[in-house]
Order: sequence, then structure tokens, then C-alpha cells
Amino acid sequence: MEKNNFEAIVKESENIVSIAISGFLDAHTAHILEGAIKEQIEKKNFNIEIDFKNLDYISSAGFGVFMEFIEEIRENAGDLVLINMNKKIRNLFELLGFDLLFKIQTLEE
Amino acid sequence: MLNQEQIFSIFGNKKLLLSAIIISFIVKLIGDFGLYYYFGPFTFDQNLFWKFITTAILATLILGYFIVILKPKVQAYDSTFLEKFINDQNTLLIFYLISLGLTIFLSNFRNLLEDYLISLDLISQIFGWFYLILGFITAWYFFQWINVLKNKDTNLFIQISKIAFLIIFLNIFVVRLLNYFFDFETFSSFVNYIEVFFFIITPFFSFKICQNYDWLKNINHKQRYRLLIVSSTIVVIGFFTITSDYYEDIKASINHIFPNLYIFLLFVVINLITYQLRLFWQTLRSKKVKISTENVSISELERFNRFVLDSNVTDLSELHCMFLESLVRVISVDFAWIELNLKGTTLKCEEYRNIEPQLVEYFNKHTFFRDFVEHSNTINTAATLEQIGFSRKYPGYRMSLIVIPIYDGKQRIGSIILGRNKDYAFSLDEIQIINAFATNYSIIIQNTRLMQEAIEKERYEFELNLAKVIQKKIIPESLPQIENYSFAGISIPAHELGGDYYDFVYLNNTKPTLLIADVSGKGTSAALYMSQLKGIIVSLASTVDNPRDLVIKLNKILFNNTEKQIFVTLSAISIDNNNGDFSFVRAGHSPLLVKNSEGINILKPKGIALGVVYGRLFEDNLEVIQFNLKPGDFCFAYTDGLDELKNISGEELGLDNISNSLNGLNPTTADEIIEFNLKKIEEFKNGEKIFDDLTMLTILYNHKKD
Repeated sequence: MEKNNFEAIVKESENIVSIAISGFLDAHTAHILEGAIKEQIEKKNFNIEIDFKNLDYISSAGFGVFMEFIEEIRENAGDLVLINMNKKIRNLFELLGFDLLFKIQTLEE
Repeated sequence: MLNQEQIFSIFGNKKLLLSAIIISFIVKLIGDFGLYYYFGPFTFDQNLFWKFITTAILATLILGYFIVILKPKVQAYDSTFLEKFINDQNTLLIFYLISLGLTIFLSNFRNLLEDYLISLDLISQIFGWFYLILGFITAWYFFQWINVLKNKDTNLFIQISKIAFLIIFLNIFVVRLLNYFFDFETFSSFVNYIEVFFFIITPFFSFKICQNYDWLKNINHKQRYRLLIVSSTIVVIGFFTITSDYYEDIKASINHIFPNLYIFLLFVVINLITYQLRLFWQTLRSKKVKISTENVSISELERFNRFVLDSNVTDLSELHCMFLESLVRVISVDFAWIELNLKGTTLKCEEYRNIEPQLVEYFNKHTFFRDFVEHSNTINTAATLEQIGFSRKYPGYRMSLIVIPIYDGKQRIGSIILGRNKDYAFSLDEIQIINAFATNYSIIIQNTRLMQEAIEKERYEFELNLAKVIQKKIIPESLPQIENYSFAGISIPAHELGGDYYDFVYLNNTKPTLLIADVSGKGTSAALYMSQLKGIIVSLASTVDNPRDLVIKLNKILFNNTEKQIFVTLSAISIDNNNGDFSFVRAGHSPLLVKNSEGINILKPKGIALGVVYGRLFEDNLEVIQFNLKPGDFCFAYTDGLDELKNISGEELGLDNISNSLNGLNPTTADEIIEFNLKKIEEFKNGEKIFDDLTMLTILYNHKKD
């Protein structure tokens, strides 16, 4: 993964925090997203939306980030919603059975 | 005295103050001139009232102006007293040279001036003001130097000179004035005696005050010569001025402003002379200390280096303590310690000699102190607590500090703190020696670190090889031979250690089952989980009789024993009987490809990856698919390293590609299938490295009906 440029742009609005991720989410970049979500949880923002629109790649370490926080978020009456997911990444979620664990909104094309 | 704010509130700003001075000076001169013009030359007591008012106003304004411009200058003193002091000395010298020049000019051209100007009195008054200002400046500098270096002598001097000034001004402005109007002879001569008394004793005190100047030990050669030259010149000029014929002229020009005002100047100059005389003497003597330190320090340095080399120390913290010990053998200190930035590392090497540890601890907790220690990239010294930032009113302790940052390469790893409980206690020589020690030490640290790394690398490589060997044992070298079936599998880790795994177990000791798994994440951590997985599977296998139960139990154990973000995908394929019937469960793993006469079937039963959820959610979503292979059919399992394999242009191999190429294959052994795929992989990636672990596992059913 020679281009591991990953970015997580956080936009806080009143009821929901939107984190738009782009690039390669893998073992090298997972900590960036991890930090971004952790920060929101520390701020007691439990309604989090992850925008997958510009995400090119996700590895198992990337999936791990969502696993790490989903429990805590739900315990606090919040949710982690994954939106604008493209077909390919959606298929990966299905393959892992993770589509059963998250609310996923697929990108309309 | 008025402070800056009060003065500003009266006069608005500096410019206004300056213009007020100039205006009142001009008014005064015009007034003097006017009086002279209309009434002719007349004696002092005839225009006493005018003189008194104008002089008082001017003196107040000028004094105020000096406070305004000098005070901020003096407050900035603390940190670099030594340099500022020498600069002040220079300024003072320049003023004195100018005044000497003026004096000579005034005396020699008196006649010439008298011919051209109406009144020399008026002109010489301007010179008088200059002398007076000079007196102010001298007194001002004097008090500030002393104030910065407070000690018993300076306090006494300040008290005495305050009284002396009071007497002098009382004598000039009150007693002698009253004397014009009343018969005050007795009282006046009494005050005069007191004045003389103070004139005699104050020089003794001003002579004594720089006896305690510890900072004089800190000066270098250049500073020393500058001090010697400047102080001796000031002494000579001062002495020359008050003893020469010119003195009368100076006296006269000041007296034109106000009678007897010259006494103030005389007082200041005499004290300055004695002070500078002592300073000169003290500076001259200061260099005689510690010549042997250098020799001692070099031998100590050698001793330390040899010890490090001989003992082969690789533990850095031990080295730090040894260094401190060496250092305090050369430079005596009252306290010293080492601190490292690394959290959780406490070093027990501290030295407390003539100071209570609690006291040092007390200062050490303070923000000023911490800032001082942490925010210096080179050796940092503070000669007093004030220089660190503590207010002068602080408990009254004295402390000189040296902070030596410890570097490992470019990274700062800690600090050494040395201290004495005295102001200005470290000499420049000592600081240079410490510097040499520190430089030497940073080289030693780097060497030690390199040595440590070399040793660790060897150890790491050894351990890595060991891990590789262990991992090879985890993944079966060859799969067992079972009649009518042919098995083959391969796992290629992307790095030294991989997170992929395949295995062959008997469920309930009877049902042959093949497993393929992929631990999330990469490298060492994945490999560790993988070996854990192997252990769990082996111990579980005998307790279950179908792959679904195996996966459910496995999931529960993994759920309880792994981090939330770690999960495992796994497929289990059990051979149900000898007729080509199989059971297949998939926990989030890549699909199973089944090749039969009709082509490739992609089997993807429902199933969530292991270690993420447990209970109903997991079990209800875990499907079992039964499938049947005819002779010659095969099934093929893989990890995502295969379908996500990328070529040089970034294209993925993909599931379609894999199934299409397998479709045309008619193998006789399972090994053939693996070899075929390896060739395909090599073609596709064309020399590129693989980035993810890649594992393939295949079962060929070749039952021959005899």
C-alpha cells in the first residue's frame, strides 16, 4: 500500500458528528480514525456518522476501528452510522457479516 | 517616589514629559534673562523665589523622566546581569568623558565666551544641568546594580545613602534657605557637621559593597579586561575632576542653578569613585581561583570514558548515574539529580549535600523551575532564583542552577540538574568544564545506543527465526493423506510473520475437517493471535462433532479473550462421509469456490467474523451449507490476500479472475491446483511484492469406483 494517504475530516453539528474518511484505511492509518472517533466519544458525542464516499480501501485493521467503539457508543444511546458506502466496500462488510452489526447506507449511483 | 503609572497618569506619555521639561527649561532661561536684563546682575537672594520654584519644577520633571525611561531597562536586568552591568559601566564612562570635555571647554574658553555672550552665568547654567543629570544617572545606576545583587552590605549602603541624601537636600533647600531670612547659624553648622560625617562614612560602605560580588567569578577574559579598563578610567576621571582647577567652574555652573546644589554631585561622584576602585581591585583579584580544575576534570573525563569502555555498559540509566557521579567529583555541588523524559523510568541517582531534599523538591515542583529545566536546548544556567522566574520576595533562599540536556542523537531524552545554594555560584570555567563533560557524554550515549541496537538486532533476528520456525509448526507442513481425497494448502506471509492460518483437525476425533483463517491486523500481533487460535482449535476439536459448533465455541472464546478491534475470519469444511458430502460454515471469511461439472459455484453462507459478537446474534446468523463433490470435483478456499492481490498498475486480481481460471482446470491432485494458482499469481503480480498474507487451501475428491 504505497499510497497510504488517509484523511478523516470531522464536522460537528448539533445532533450528529459526521466524519468523512478518504483514501486508504489500513493498519498504518487506522489510528487516525481511531483518534477522531475517540475524541468525539470523550466529548460525549455518541451520534456519529462515517461518510465512506471517498474511501478507496479498507483493510481488516480498518474494520477493527468500528468494532472497537460500536459497543460503547450504543451503550450511551448513540449509534455509529456508515453512510455513502460504495458497492465494493459494502460487499466486504457483507462478507464479514458486519452488515448485520452496523446501520449502513449504500451510495446511490 | 512616584512610580511609572503615576507619572504617566500625570503627563500622559514620555513625549509630553520631555516637552514639559524643555518648555520649563526655556521658560526658566527666558525668566533668568529677563530678570537680568531689567534689573542687571543681582545677587542670589534677590531672585531666590524665582530660582527655587523653577529649579524644583525642573528637577521633579527630570527625575520623573529618568524614572520613566530607566525603570523598564532596569527590570530587564535580571537574566543577563553581567552583560548589562558592563554596558552600564560603558554608558557611565561615556557620560563622564563628555562632562570632562565640557569642563575643559568651559574653563579654557571662558574669556572668549564672556566677550560674545551677555551673561556667562546663563550659559554655564546649561552646563550645570548636564552635571546634575550626570549625578542623577550615576545615583540611579548605582542603586539599581545594588538592588539586583541584594545582600547585607548593599542593604546597609542603601539605608545610609538614603539618609545622606536626605541630609544633603535638607541642607541645600531648607536650612540654607532659611538661613537667608533668619539667624540660623547654630542649626546650620550642626547640619553641616552631620553632612560632613556622612560624606566621610558613606564612601566606606560603597567601597565595601562589591566585596560580595560572586558574579565577578563568572566573568571571562574579555569581560574582565573591559571591567578593569572602564572602572579604572572612571576612577581617574572622577578623581581628576574633583581635585583639579576645573572643579571650581563645575561648582559655579551648578550653583547658578541653585546654591550649593553641587554638594549632591560631589557626594555621588565620591561614592562612585570608591565603588569603582573596589570593583577594579575585586576584578583584578577574581582570576586567581581554580586553575587546577581543568587538569582534574580531564583526568576524570578520561577515567569515566575508560570505565564505560571497559565495563561494556549497555544499560543507559546506569550510565547516566555514573556520569553524574563523575561530574560531581569535579564540580562540587549542593544538590544534583538526573531526570529522564521517559515516563515510568525513575532514576535513583541524586545528590544532596548542604541542602534539604524537601527544599529542592519544593522548588522543583514549581512551574518556573520546570520551564527552566525543560525549555532549554543547550546548557542553561541561572545564577539566582529570580533568573528562573521566582519573585525576589521568595523565601530568601539562594540558588544557582545548571541544566544539562541529555541528547540521544537529535532526541532529547532527559536532563541533569546541578545546583548550589548560593547566588552566582558557578564560574564560567566550571560551566565550560560541564559543557565539555556534556558533549563527551552525548557521544558516549550515542555509541552505547548503537551498541545496544546492534545487540538487540541480533537478538531480534534470532527471535524472528525462532518465531518463523514455530509458525511453520503451526501450519502443517503437509496435510494428512486420506483415501479418496487429496488436500493441499500453502500460506505465504507478506512480512516475516503472518496472520493467516490453515489446519487439519478431526472433530470428535472422527470427522476430518479443514480450516482456513485470517487474523485481522498485520505482523507480529496477528501472528500471536494466530498461534493462540491454533491452540484453542486443537483443544476444542475433540469436544464438538460438527463445524458449526466448533465455530460457535471458538467465537465465544475469542470474544472473551481478544481486543475489541481484533477479529478472525474463518471457514471450516468437514468431510461428512465417504460419498463426497461436505459441511461448510463461514465466519466472515472469503467464499468457498466449488468446481463441479457445471462450473464454479461460489458458496457464501451467512456468518459473522469471530470475536466480534456472541450469543443469538452470532448463532442465528451462522449458516451451514452442505455440498457434494463428484469424483474430479474440487473446492478451493483462500484468504483475502489472494483476491485483493494487486499488480503494478494497482488492479486487483478479484474473485471473477480466480473462478474463471479455475473453471478450465481438470486436476488429478490438489497440489496441481495450488501450483496452477501460484503460477497465476506470479504472472499477475509480475515481480511486485505482496502486501497481505496469502493462503490457499484446496480439497480434491478423486474417489475411484473400483
